[in-house]
Amino acid sequence: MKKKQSNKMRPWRAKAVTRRIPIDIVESVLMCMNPKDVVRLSTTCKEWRVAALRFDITMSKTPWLFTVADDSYILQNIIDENMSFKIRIPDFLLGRKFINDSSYGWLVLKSKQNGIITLLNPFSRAQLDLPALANPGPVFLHMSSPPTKPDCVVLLVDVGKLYVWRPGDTSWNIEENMDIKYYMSTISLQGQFYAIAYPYYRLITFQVLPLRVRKLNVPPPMDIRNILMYDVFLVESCGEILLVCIRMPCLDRVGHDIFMLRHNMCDKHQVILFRLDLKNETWIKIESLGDQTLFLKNNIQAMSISAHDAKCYDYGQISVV
Amino acid sequence: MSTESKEILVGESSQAKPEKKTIVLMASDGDEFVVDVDDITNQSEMIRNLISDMGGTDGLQVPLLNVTAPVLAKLLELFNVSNKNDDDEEVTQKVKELMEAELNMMIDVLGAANYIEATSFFDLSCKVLADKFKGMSVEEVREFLNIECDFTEEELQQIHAENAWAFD
Repeated sequence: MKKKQSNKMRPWRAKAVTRRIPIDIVESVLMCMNPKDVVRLSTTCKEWRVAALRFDITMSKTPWLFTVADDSYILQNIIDENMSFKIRIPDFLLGRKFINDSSYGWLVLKSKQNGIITLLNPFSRAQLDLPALANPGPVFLHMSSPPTKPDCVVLLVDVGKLYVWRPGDTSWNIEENMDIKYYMSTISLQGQFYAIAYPYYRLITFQVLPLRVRKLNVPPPMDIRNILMYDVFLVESCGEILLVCIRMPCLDRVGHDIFMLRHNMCDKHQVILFRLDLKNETWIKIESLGDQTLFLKNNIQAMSISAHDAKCYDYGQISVV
Repeated sequence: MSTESKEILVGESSQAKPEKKTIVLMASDGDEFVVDVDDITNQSEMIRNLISDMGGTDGLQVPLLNVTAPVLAKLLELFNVSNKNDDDEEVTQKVKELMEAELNMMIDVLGAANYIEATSFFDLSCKVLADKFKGMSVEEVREFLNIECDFTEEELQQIHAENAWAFD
């Protein structure tokens, strides 16, 4: 913290403030500040801290765009163009490569020397080294929750193998009996994992530790030859599992490899949405995302937030990075 | 034809422009303030809703139990500045001056604005405070607002450690 030890005669010293500033005013004041100042000023007193935590921007579900520039990284909020941070890269990250993955706001890094995978929270700079791997082959597949949660499960995948880690584990649990070569778009919901299995686009569900894979009898919602023309994402939206099939040209590019699908642009020729009806084991075509806005990344990750949070009411106001 | 249309025009304008409608705001100490309906509903959502709930403004008296006469006078003075100017520059300047000269009064005015739901004025004033705080250290903010730090040294250190990015 910078200490300004200037003259003691500050202009406001003479006039004693006797009013306690009401906390709802404090909250409104903090709300129109840069999050960095909010966190800084949240140390004023406990009441302010509580007010600040109530709307912590770094906890918001809206996506951030992450770029590396020299010795810093830049976090740019995709919704609010005025919201961006430049953060110095901590020394412990040197020699590690940012691989193009993130989950629940945590970045996935890989050491260039030994292939050790590290999870990093770019705001708090909290880091977590995952156990060493025997070979550098496995790639990041999925994380079920932030790694600070005890029920978090991190999944890596390699040919025919699934690597499982939970907080506290000192080594990877390796499941070898994987007859599926490639999982597309994995999501988790209430302890169950769901994935679309390539090449037949079947929906599978599995649990880990021990691994129990179940092929659901849910056929792809359209002909295989047809579906090949689409990118396919699984996404959890308001407790439901959605399948989003998209022909690429209709997506808005909001950043390198990040696309945004707005709730009002579900042209049926370009985007096809299905909702999973697990009971009847079928995909049901839906026409609208309702209040939700989806963010899709890299053909593997998707997230759903309310259109209100994404500020998507006014189409023209969205800034495309 | 032309005279006819002129007559209609005159008739309309005299109908649309009777003497200005007013209502009475009562401060907590009983002082009454007569305000122009358009001027006040332009600012206060609470009073706008009240008028529409009451179905009109005839003889309307609004008691503002939490607002003293000096605070209400200051608030109405600032509303006046805001209503007279299309942009917010002038009123922002006035709020800034009030903050520097009489912070107690400014806090009370903000409380009153919040109470009568004068949203845009309230937001604008919060922005003035936010701009002020941005350039100050935490110690200076505490001193400015006469706030006691109730964190222990360890608690402060922990917040700094958990949010290193904000304290670079």
